[in-house]
Amino acid sequence: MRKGDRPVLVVDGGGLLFKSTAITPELAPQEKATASGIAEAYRLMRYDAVGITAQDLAAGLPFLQGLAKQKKVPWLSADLVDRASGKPLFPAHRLGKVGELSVGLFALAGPTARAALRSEDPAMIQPWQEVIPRTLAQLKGADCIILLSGLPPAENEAVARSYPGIHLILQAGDDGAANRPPRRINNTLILQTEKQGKSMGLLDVHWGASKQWGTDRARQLSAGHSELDRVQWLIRSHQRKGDPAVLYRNDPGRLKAYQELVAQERELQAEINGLSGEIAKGAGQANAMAENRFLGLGADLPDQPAVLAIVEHTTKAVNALGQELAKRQMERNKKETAAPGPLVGWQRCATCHRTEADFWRQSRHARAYETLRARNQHFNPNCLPCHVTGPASTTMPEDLRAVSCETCHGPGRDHSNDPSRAMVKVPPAQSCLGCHTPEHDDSFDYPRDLTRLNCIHVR
Amino acid sequence: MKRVRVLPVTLALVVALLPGLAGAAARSATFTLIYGNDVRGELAPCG
Repeated sequence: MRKGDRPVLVVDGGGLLFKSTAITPELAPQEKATASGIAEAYRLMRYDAVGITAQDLAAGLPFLQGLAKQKKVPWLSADLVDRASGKPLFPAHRLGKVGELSVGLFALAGPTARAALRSEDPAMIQPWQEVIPRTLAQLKGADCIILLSGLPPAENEAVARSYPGIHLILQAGDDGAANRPPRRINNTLILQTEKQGKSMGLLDVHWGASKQWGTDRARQLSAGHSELDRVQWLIRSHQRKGDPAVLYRNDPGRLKAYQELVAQERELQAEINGLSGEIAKGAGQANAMAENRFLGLGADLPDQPAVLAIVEHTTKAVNALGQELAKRQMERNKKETAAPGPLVGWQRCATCHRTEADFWRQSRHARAYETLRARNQHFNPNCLPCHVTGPASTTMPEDLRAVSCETCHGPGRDHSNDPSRAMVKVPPAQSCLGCHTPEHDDSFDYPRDLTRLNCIHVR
Repeated sequence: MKRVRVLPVTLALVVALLPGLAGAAARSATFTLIYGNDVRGELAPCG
């Protein structure tokens, strides 16, 4: 993207370092190592500005400040200020040139970050109503102003209504929404991508002297891109299964549906090209326009070798730290912990349910822990919970190191002592959805996938 | 001696005026904003 003919500005809403707003002291070394790897990757990708949200404060304010200094990640925050002096603890804003344009960037951590601050942190979060007027005054010379916001969606809308001088708000989405086409409120476009970096948003901006967003064609184009994304996703989901012409040769209905999608893709692409051309011709006109599209960061995109090296290095470091932790815990316990509480492990189940156990042993659930081990992630506390049975621990017994019987059917101690005590026969969708989340398994289909679990259909 | 003093003052003036001049000259332009959110998931995949 940077090599194209158009200047590029790269920003992130924040919330990238930790999964939640607090980490346990025991797991802190691993969590911090992951955070450090992420910051290193951001440095390498030369981000122009990154917001700070509550999750970034999980290891404490000094850790974030140290990381900012060490990795030179351009974190901004106008509302995270020193409690005594009221001065921002990170740069509040940044005024830079993007091609010919002067662009002002600032960030707000928002009220959720207030709860993430520790009592010993000499910091507080100022209300945006106080922060925004003074920050906009400091960015007076900017042609275009962008806010990286950790505020809740309703407050971002309120900001957009009150401050038409903020032209773009990047919402660090926390409302479970997926990619959203830009939404215009007053003179502000609110942008949001789905979480966990599954997609990047690309907004081509044609800025105009009026500093006002235009309407019509740009809006049509944005809708066209969204529809194209949807159609292409459907086409890919057909193609993932094989060549549709071969796959559906005995299913004319499905073949026709696939062909219609391909035709629709062609028509949309032509429409988008036409609209883009019209907008490009009008780039010098008074009103600003924007075309938005989303780029899915799927496994099919090649890895950048330097970033991949950071990921691999971090993975190894995190796993090694987990291994050390396990050793310390083992020494403390002298021997491996007994099965936690009411869990008995799959081998005990197999003494009576031999056929079911044989089916299960052929399943991917049975190899869930092994896949982690193969990737050197079997001591990673962020991964373990979905690859073992019961509460994850680095010292858990061997026969709980898989997604085994008790994950779906519930703890087996009572049933194994008294077989008349019933177990869950067919696992409810709820027990699958904790791990088969859209982020980790976007093709999960409960009724379909249930039929693939042979062990529950044996009897 | 005077030249030595004048040079920094002139430079400071030029630097101070530059943003304003540049802003006034170019108020319409194109750029691409690349934006994302919480990229952690992809940087730390499990297996």
